[in-house]
Amino acid sequence: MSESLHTIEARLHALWTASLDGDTPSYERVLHLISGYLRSFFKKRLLSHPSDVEDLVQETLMAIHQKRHTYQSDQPLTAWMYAIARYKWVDHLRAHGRRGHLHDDIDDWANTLAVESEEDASDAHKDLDTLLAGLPARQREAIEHTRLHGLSISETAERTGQSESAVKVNIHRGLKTLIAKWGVRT
Amino acid sequence: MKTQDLIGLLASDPLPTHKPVRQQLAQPLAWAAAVCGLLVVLVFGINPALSDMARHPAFITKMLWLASLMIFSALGLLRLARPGLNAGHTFWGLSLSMLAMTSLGLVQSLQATPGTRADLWLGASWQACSLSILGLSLPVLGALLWALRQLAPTRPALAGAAAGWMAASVAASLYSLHCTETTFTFFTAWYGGGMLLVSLLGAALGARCLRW
Repeated sequence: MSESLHTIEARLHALWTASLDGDTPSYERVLHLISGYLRSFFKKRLLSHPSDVEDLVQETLMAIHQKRHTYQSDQPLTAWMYAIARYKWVDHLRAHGRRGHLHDDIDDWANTLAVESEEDASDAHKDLDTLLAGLPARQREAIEHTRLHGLSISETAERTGQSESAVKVNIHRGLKTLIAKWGVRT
Repeated sequence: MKTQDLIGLLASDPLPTHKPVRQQLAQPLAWAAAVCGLLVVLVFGINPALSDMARHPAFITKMLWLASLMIFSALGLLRLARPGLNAGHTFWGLSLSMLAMTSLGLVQSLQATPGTRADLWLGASWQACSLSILGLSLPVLGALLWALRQLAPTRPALAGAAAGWMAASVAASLYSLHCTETTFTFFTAWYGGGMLLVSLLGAALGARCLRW
């Protein structure tokens, strides 16, 4: 590691404290920094499965976000953050150890899986519709506009009549529901 | 989804207001202990000679013992509920408390005449004691596991075991309002055994339902 824990702590701590006081730009910045540290943490530990690194980074970021109320200022932020990362890593290994033999890197199947015709694409779209149909209307339209039609948050807000922050929250909640329901980690 | 997009989403998620960890554990614990106390009063009934019992040296020793178990398991829970802290001296403290009571029990047993030894160990209520403590601790254990699920234990089995000790020592303290036993041998075998069972149950449940 090029940086010592001490310097990482110094970099993150002030931003983190500001974020917990509700400063959104600081929070975005500190999450970005954290994601970098997490990436190098997982890269070193998942040498044989580099394709899982980004999944774990994202999963750990979600966990850090959801469990941020368990951080108390009497402990170093790095200890807290790396403990969560280690937990997610061990969890991953456990799940992977059980199903390791079932693992196929999707890149090996790129040709087989590629969508060949218009029909396949429309089938995929139908599946997506079924998936989204289970969500409340506001979350569904927020996700459809931003993720499927490629509109920006403010455009979506304009079209749906929701406020921008409501759009963001609805995307987040909708995705969370989808993840919980359909399971990213099968 | 790209990580950068995820970060944007997370950053826009409003900050929920959460109580401090201590309160998140203490409130469910207090409620469950109240339920447990009510069960003791309604189902088991209070020992009619409680005021005499409260002055009995063995009773006082037992309550101090249970209090020390509660303190150590509470400290352990507060640590194990959060990432980045290990169990600390929790399990050493619990083991030493158990060792202290076991020593008292053994001394008492060795000093007794051979004919009375069995009575010392079995008392009058050995069939009921451990199971009652196990049963009474269930609401408390449930409440603590629920509270832990809202937190972030990175060692689920250990956190479950600490929750089990906490639940068991609360249940045992309340059960003491009913219990008429006054020997250290009995406390060692039946209180200790019952509490150990609850802690094992807590560890097993913790390993399963505290994943996040």
